[in-house]
This record gives sequence, structure tokens and C-alpha cells, in this order.
Amino acid sequence: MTQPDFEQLLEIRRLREMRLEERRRLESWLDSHPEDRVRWEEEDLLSLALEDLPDAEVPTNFTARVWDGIESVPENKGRRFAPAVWMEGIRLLLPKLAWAGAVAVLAAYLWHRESVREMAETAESLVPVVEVAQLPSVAVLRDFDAIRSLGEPMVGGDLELLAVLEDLK
Amino acid sequence: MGGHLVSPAVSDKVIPMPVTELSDAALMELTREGDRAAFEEIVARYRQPVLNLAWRTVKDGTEAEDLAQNVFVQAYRAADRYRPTAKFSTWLFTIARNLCLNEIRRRGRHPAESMDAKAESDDGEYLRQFEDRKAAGPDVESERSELYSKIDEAIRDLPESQRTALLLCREGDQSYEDIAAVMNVSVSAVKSLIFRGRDALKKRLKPYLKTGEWTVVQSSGTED
Repeated sequence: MTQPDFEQLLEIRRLREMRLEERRRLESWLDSHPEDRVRWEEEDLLSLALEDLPDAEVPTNFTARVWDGIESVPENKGRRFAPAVWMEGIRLLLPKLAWAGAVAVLAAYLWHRESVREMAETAESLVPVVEVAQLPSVAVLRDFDAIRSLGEPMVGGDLELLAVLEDLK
Repeated sequence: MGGHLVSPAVSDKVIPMPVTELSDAALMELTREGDRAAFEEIVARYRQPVLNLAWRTVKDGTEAEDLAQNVFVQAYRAADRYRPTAKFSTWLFTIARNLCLNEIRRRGRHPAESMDAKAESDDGEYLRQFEDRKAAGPDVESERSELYSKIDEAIRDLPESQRTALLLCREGDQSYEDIAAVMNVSVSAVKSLIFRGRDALKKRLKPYLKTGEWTVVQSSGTED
């Protein structure tokens, strides 16, 4: 047996009477560790005192008074819940709801942070592309239509030339 | 009597089991179905520990009785919400503790209604009842009464959480996990509350606990 085992036996004694086997282990420990005996005796005496405290006296008509309480409000006969009971239920649920809310807020925060991080990464990855593919200035675009038309096939012009040549024949 | 719950050994013959042999969960199931005897059995099983908790919390006999009765009224009203997955005593003591806390808060709001003076007279009555119950030599009884009075006083002066943890501990059949569930705290918090509560009691009661005669009385009364 070790010191933590002894502490565990003290914890057991705080809760209930010790079993024979537990008592034997304890005695064995105390024989080899007499310095713990005073502590044990204090715990044991206090436990005995608490266990031996007299019970409150239960009135003989206790159960009848419980029924009176149950039946004093008509709707309670069918065990329908009074608002106070609902309130009590909600009050009992509040800690759980608070936890659920906290978890939901945390999850939303993490999701939002992840989205922001992904967007930042995407933006960062586009920077080199932007630097390489610089757009021309607006002044260059002034003659855009004329320049573009230069690249187009002169279909109309060719047809006119063909007509003139036909006439010359 | 329990309607359809039957003894496993004779289930083919559908012989109802007496309510006294049914589990708490089975009794609550019958209660939900409107079985008065089942609920009365619940009351019979738990009225003493619930009343003890109420009495040592509010320190007034009449108020403790009202409070304990209200615990069972609430339990009956909320029977539909009880799930057998939870230990019944834990569920019931949770109701009891909440009502005790409400009472403490009510008294905090209306200090003029404090029952301290009445509690002192109740102490006397309470101890006299106990003296009647356990006949022993007058010196031993006197010493015992003094000790019980001091312990009750010391318990009353503890912070509510320490007091409740200690009282639930005393009511037996309650593990640290059960007490943690009732008080809505962790098991380690319960152990800490009990440790600190007992430490305060030990310091305060040291002269009484060390009384040689009392020790002898206790030892002779609780020997394995």
C-alpha cells in the first residue's frame, strides 16, 4: 500500500463505513506509518459523529400532507406541470444550454477564422500573378477599336476590289 | 399495488410484485401511470433523508417539513420528466437542494423571517426527542446531546455548498459521482468541498471529538 492508497481509504471513510478488507489494509498501513494514525483517528471520529447524528422526526401524517400538496391545485391531479415546475426545468437546463451555446459560438468563431485564413491565402497566392500580368494604362486603350480593326480581315474591301476588277473586264 | 410489473421468476403468470420490492425507477413508472401506492412507497423510502437535508439546511422543524413535502410534490408533478437512466435519489436530491437554495435565497431577501430564534428552541426539542429514542446513562446522554448540538451548529455555519455535500454524504448510498450530479459540479470539486467542510468541522469540534468518554460511547455503538 502507498500514501495515495491511504488517502483513498480516507476518502472512502469520509463517505461510508469501511469494509473489513479495507480496515485491514488501513491497520497494516498505520502499523508501519504511526505518524498517520492521529490523522486517521480524527477523520474516523468525525465520520462517526456525523453518522450518529440523530434523524429529524418525520411527522406521522407526512404522506397525507404530500397528497394534500399535490391535490391542492386542481390541474396537478393529472400531473400537468405548473409554470413554476416548467421554470424549474428550464433553470435546470440552463447550464446545459449555456454550454451548448458556448460550443456553438466557439465553432462559429473557428469556422469564421478558417474562412478568413483561406481567403487571405488565396489573395496572397494571386499577388505574383498580378505582378507578372500588369494591365496597360488607360491611355493605351484610347485607340483600342482602331487597333483591333487592323487585325480583322478586310472582307468588305476585298469584295469592292473584286467588283472593280470585274468592271474593268 | 404495482399494475403490470411482475416478478421475473413468474412473469408468465403475471403476478404483480409488491411495491416494496420494486426499484425506484419502476415505482416512478407506475407513478406516471397514476399508481398512488407506488408514489407512497417512494415517499416512504426517501422522506427521512430528504427531511434530514431540509432540517439541517433551514434549521426550522415546520419549515423543513413543508420543504420536504414540497420536494415530493415537485417530484410527483415532474414524474413524466424523470428518466430511469438517472439514479432516482440523485434526481430527488437535486430537487431537494434546489428548493433548499430557494428557501435560503428567500430568507436572504426577507431576513426578518429568519428562524434562528425558533431554531434554537427546535434544537432543544429535537435533542429531547433523540434522548427519548436512545436511552442511555444521563451523563453519556448529556455529553452526546452537547456534541450533537455543537455538530449541528458547526454544520449550520458551513457555506451552503460544503454543508450540502457533507449532508448528502451522510445520507448514505450517495457516491461522490451522485453528489457531483446533484450539485452540478465535478467529482473533484465535491471531494474538495467535503474535505474543506470536514476540515472546518474538525477544527471547530476538536475538543468534543477528543472527549474520551464520547469516543468510548461511539466505539461501543458502531463496532463492526
